[in-house]
Amino acid sequence: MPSGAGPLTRALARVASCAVAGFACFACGSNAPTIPSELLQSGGCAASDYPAGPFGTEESQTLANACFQGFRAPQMVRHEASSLQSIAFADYYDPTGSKGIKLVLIDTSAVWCSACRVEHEGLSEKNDEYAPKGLRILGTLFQDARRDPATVKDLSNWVETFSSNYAMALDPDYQLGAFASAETAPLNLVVDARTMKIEKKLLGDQATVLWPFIDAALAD
Amino acid sequence: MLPKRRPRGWIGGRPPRCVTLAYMSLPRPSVLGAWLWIALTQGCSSSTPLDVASAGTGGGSVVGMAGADGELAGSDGSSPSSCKPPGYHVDAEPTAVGEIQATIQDASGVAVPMLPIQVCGTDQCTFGSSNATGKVDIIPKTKLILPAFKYGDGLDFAELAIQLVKGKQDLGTLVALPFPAFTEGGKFPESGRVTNGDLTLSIEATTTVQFDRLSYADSELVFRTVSIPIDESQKALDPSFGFELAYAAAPLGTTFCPPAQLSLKNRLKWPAGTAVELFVQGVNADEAWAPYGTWIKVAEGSVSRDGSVIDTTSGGITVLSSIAVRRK
Repeated sequence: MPSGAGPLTRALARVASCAVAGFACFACGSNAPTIPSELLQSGGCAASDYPAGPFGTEESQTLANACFQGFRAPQMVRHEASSLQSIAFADYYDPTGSKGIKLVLIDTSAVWCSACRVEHEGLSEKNDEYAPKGLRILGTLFQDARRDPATVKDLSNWVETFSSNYAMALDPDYQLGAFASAETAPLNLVVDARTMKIEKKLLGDQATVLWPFIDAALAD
Repeated sequence: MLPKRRPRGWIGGRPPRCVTLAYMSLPRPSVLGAWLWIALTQGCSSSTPLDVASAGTGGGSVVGMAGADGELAGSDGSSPSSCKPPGYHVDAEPTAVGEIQATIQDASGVAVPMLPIQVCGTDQCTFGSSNATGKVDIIPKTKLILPAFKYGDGLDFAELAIQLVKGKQDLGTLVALPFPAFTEGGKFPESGRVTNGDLTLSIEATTTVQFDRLSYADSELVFRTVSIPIDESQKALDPSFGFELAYAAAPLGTTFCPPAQLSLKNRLKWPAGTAVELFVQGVNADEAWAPYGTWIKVAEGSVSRDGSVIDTTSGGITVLSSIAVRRK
């Protein structure tokens, strides 16, 4: 609005802006941006070789299988949609130890969550240290800075920002919401790869609890 | 298969963006003492740049980072090509924060619905928003390390932080501060000046500028500022500091190394030569450039000879956040 606009002009502009704003509200519809279908697991997530239920969301309960789209090894691929692969909890199931996996650390993150960023800043180093011992890390990203479902672009920015060398996947419809509400992050689950039982469930980045627990579990 | 659980929708959750935009288009109105002992470790030094927006050769001044007690570290006169954040993390015991209440209004006293808020420690964040009448009522599920209440998101609204204490607390009325539209923001130059509102940043060719590209799209990486009303923002500004001028700036979390010089309009008409101190607030849990939830001095300045502006004379802006000023 030009500074020299008269009061009538300014008043008309205000009415117009209100009208446009009101129309925009009316026309908006749902607040949730559309999640691309290829990022959703609407077709189910079957795994023939996976523990039978019952499944649960608490410690000592068996983790239900879930599938995501993500970068299995972000450090080795271009961070774009064409590099996305299906990543399932079943991929980490290792009852005989043939895959060399003892524990799985599953983490939820959101772009708006600064504590999540703090956690991921050191996670690649942890992966370097613990992968040879049998730990696998699967990070998931569920929302962006505005609490919209995370996108491939968000995931790409995330792995580039933190130089992630562990699997990072998108969870735009927050499948892991069964374990914690979308309002709170991060969530960390430590899962026994031999049984897919949840050994530890932690709300928040509790490094002083998490890593000693993992040390003890790997030594067991 | 895990039961599907979608993020919460419009009611009780984040509003449609149209609501935020509609609202913005309508016509419009000692806790810190523990941090003061934190000392600087170093100024800018060489390390791998993460996101270089500009690079150059040649000389440039390097200024040190301010200590928590207001002392400036010395400069070494070198021109690093990249920077390592000094880091301000200190270990702390978790705090049992109880119910947090607040009322969010705009500058004219009108309730602001659905303003993004967070209760964050350095270990965990809980997201919420003000309700239809601007009320906030949130209870963290666990103890938090260095908990702070943050209101605004650095995108549509300025983000400010209020340190929290143990137990239930009512933060009273807080004023939400909308940023100018992105289209009204100033484009960052590779070197030179960028102005928005009362603030002008000066960036040298040798300055490494790192943006928070997780939070901001490319088109949103423009300089925007909004004035913070001192009297109405005492909880965030902490009266013990005695701030007299304050602004919020975006893109939040943008870092500058060497620090960017700042010029701000002398709105309070301080006499020429008046010496001032400039502080930034840490709103990022990583505490890389500022301690979380509190303020740290980053520069000294003085009023220009003609009295029109306040210029930084030593130190500078290391990270874009809220900037507060007091006379020395």
